Parts: sequence; C-alpha cells; structure tokens
Amino acid sequence: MKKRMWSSGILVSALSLSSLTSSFAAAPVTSAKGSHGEVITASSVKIASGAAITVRGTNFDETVGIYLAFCLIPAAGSLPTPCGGGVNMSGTGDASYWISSNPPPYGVGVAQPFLAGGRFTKRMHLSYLIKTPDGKILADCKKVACAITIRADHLRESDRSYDIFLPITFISPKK
Amino acid sequence: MKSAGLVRPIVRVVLALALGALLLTPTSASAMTKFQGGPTTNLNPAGDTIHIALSNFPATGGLYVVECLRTATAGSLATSCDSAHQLWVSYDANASVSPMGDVALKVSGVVQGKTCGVDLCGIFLTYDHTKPTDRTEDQLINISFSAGMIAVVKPLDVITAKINNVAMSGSVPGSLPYHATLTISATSASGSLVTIKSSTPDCTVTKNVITALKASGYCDFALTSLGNLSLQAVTSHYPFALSAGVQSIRTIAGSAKIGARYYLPAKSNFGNVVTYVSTTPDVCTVAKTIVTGKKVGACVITAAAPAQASLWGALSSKVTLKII
Repeated sequence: MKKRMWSSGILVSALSLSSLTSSFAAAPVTSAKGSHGEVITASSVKIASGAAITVRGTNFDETVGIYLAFCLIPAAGSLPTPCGGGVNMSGTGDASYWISSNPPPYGVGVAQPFLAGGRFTKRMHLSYLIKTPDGKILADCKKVACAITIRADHLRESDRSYDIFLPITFISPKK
Repeated sequence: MKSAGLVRPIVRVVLALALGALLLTPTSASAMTKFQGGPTTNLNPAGDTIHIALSNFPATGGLYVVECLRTATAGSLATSCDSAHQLWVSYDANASVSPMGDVALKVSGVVQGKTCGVDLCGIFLTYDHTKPTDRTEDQLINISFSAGMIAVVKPLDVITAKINNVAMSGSVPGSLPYHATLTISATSASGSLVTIKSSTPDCTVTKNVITALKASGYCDFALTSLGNLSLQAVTSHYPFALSAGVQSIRTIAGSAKIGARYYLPAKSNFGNVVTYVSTTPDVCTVAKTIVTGKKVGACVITAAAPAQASLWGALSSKVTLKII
C-alpha cells in the first residue's frame, strides 16, 4: 500500500527507532494520535477482509461528538468519504459508530456516550470493499489507502481538526 | 451584545452584598455615574426596553444594571431582581455591553413572580464584581408601568428545584464533580412539567440526571415551565461549578472465610485498574484482586489507582474485610 502522512492525524509509530532497527521487520503502526491529544488504538491493522478488530479511544474531548468509521483516506483537508457503513446516525451495525455524550435531542439513545476520560471501545468488522447500501463498490481498500477514521460528527462536519486516520492493510487469508 | 451567562453567579453574589447595604431607595451623588435615557415611565409591563446612556462612568471597575423590586432587602436578591436580563456594563471584553454602547435593559412588570404594579420597581446600578464592597455607585432609578396595561400581565410561574433532595440555588453555584450523576427534581407552582436543559456543552442532561463532561469551569442548567392560564412561562437558571471527579470503587462489605477467595473490584468507577495491598498480611493476603483469608480478624487492604490529569484525583482508600 502506498504510504503517506496525514495532515490531521499524527501517527504514533512504533517505528520511531526505525533507523536503529533497520535490520528488524517493522512493527505495524497500531495507534494514531489526534491534534487535541486524543489517541485511537486498534487491536490489529493487518487483517483479512471481514475480520473484526477492537478499536479503543482515549483522551477524547467529551464535549465533541465523533464518528468512528472505516473510510477511504481523503486528500489532506478533505472530509473523509466514502466510509463503510456511512454516517451511522441510526446506532445499528458495527461498521461505524456515532459517539457523543451530548447529542442533540434526536441523537439521545442513538449516539453512544464516551466513558470517563474520553474513552471508548468498539468492535468493528472491516471489509476491503466499501459499498453503498445497494452494493455499489465505492472503494477497493486493497488498491487504495483506507483507514480507521475519526471525524467530528455532523454538528462540526467541516472541522477537520478532529480527523484521525489509522491505516488498515488487508492480507490474503492463509490457505 | 455579549452574553453575561457565566458571570451571572458573580453578579448575583455581588448584588446580594450590595443589597445588604442598600435598601432600595433613590439616591444620588455628584460623583456617581449619571443615568440618562428612557423611557422610564408608562412602560409596557408585558415587556419593554429602556435605552440607557451612562456618563461619568467610573474609570476603574464596571457596573451591574438590573431591574429590581423596590422592596428588595438584604438577602432577598434571588427573589427581588430580574437576573435573567441584568447587564454587566464594563470596558472588560467579556462584559454584556461597553459603557460607550447602547445599554439596552429589558424590563417587565413582573420581577421574580411579583408584580411591579405601576411604580413598585426600579433599575438598580451597583459596582461589579471587581469592587464588590464599594457602595459608592449604588443607586436606584425609579421606573413606572402603564396602569392601563397592568391588568393583562400574568405573574410568572415559580419553579422549585432540588438536587439530590437539597434545594438548588440560582445565585450560588452548586458543585458538580466530573462524571458524578446528580438528579434534579423540580416542580412548578402552575403544575406544568418542568424541563431541564444544559446551557453549555460541558454538561449533559439525561432525563433529570445532570453530568459534567469537564472538571473545571461552570455549567448552567435552564429549568423551564410553560406556566398555565394564570401564570406566565418562566425559565430559571442554576449555575454549577465543575470540579475534579472522585475516583472510587464499589463498597466492599461482608466477610470472607479463612482459605476462601474474595474478589475485589478490578477497576475504579473511572475504569482505572486498581492495585491492592494487604496491610495485615498475617490476616489476609492479596494477589491482584483476590483476597485470601489466613486467620480470623480484620483484613485491611489499601486500594490505589492513578489520577487522570485535570479530570479526577488518585484513588487511595482502605478496604476492611472481616475474616471469619
């Protein structure tokens, strides 16, 4: 997969000593840090399509609602889209989540609140194909870069300072 | 005009002090701020606006400008002044309005549920919170309402609110620790349902339970009653100062038999892993969260968990189990 640096999310890399360990295989980056000090960590970032991973978040600002989703990594400064599961304002499925402790009235009971300390733990099943609900393929994440993505919810849709990207690589299942 | 929402608690405390020293009677002094503008007579009791120009304004400090009942006495601020429309007039950037600006004070013929009649209310001026004990700017400007319109004005509904069964104050901020859950119970004199909203994103309301999402600053909760045929709708504001959360573990009670295992909570209320150490190793031992009694007696265990900067304090408590 093509590697790139994301303008809004700072990768917390286990590879920071890579120049000293060039003879070792590089450990995958499993965490990414946002510009406000928030961090997401995935249980795995190299997975088979359809596999489930656990995504944990810590130190999020509980006054700002977010979406957690699996998205095509957009051009720097652009709204992350398309995303698997779309914008989940219904609270169903595990392809994306709306996490907010102070949602508007229509989101009460749908958005899930942060735990103390701005934490969350979510299980996500990821497919390398991002599709529309009627099956149209929007992105093939074996060919383009996709990531576990955090963005501010639709109440701050244009605020890119909350975007975080943790790239995911799909591997072929062992035969 | 800028909001004075977060300074309201300060305003109220300062005004309470001011009213303690001043029975609301008209006063004047040459060094005082000069009040000009109007109208101050024949006002519409259903709601009117007085445009005020202030001259000879103090060089230091600002003023609070608020409509009060003229019968206000010491300690009766909460029921004697219209805190919802009070203005903080100051050169401070956070003030409601600059002394150079149009000081537009909204007034009505009912203050805190009591009628102003024709001439029972006035506009009170006093130094702001930067000079809380300075009484030299205290003055009351008489105003009067149109007698012909008074009959149609309904008095405001009155909300009575408690939090965890303790009466809430609209003038003194309550305390709301991070992620503590406090329950508001509120009733109105009209019998109408009282709804609760957080005026700030730093706090939430779920049903009647309020929660702080931050550990510093202030939240304001607006309680609203729609009134009824004889009482006007009203919204009352209740400020809360946010503070660090209190980390704890669930209450440990009971006893354990010698040789039996007793399980302690693995995590605190904030999700931190709790570390336990037995301070009575001859009576009991602890391995992670498992207590094993060794002999009859009081098993004392310390529980510890780290603080989270700016959100909650460290856990440091003792757990006592009876080994039988």
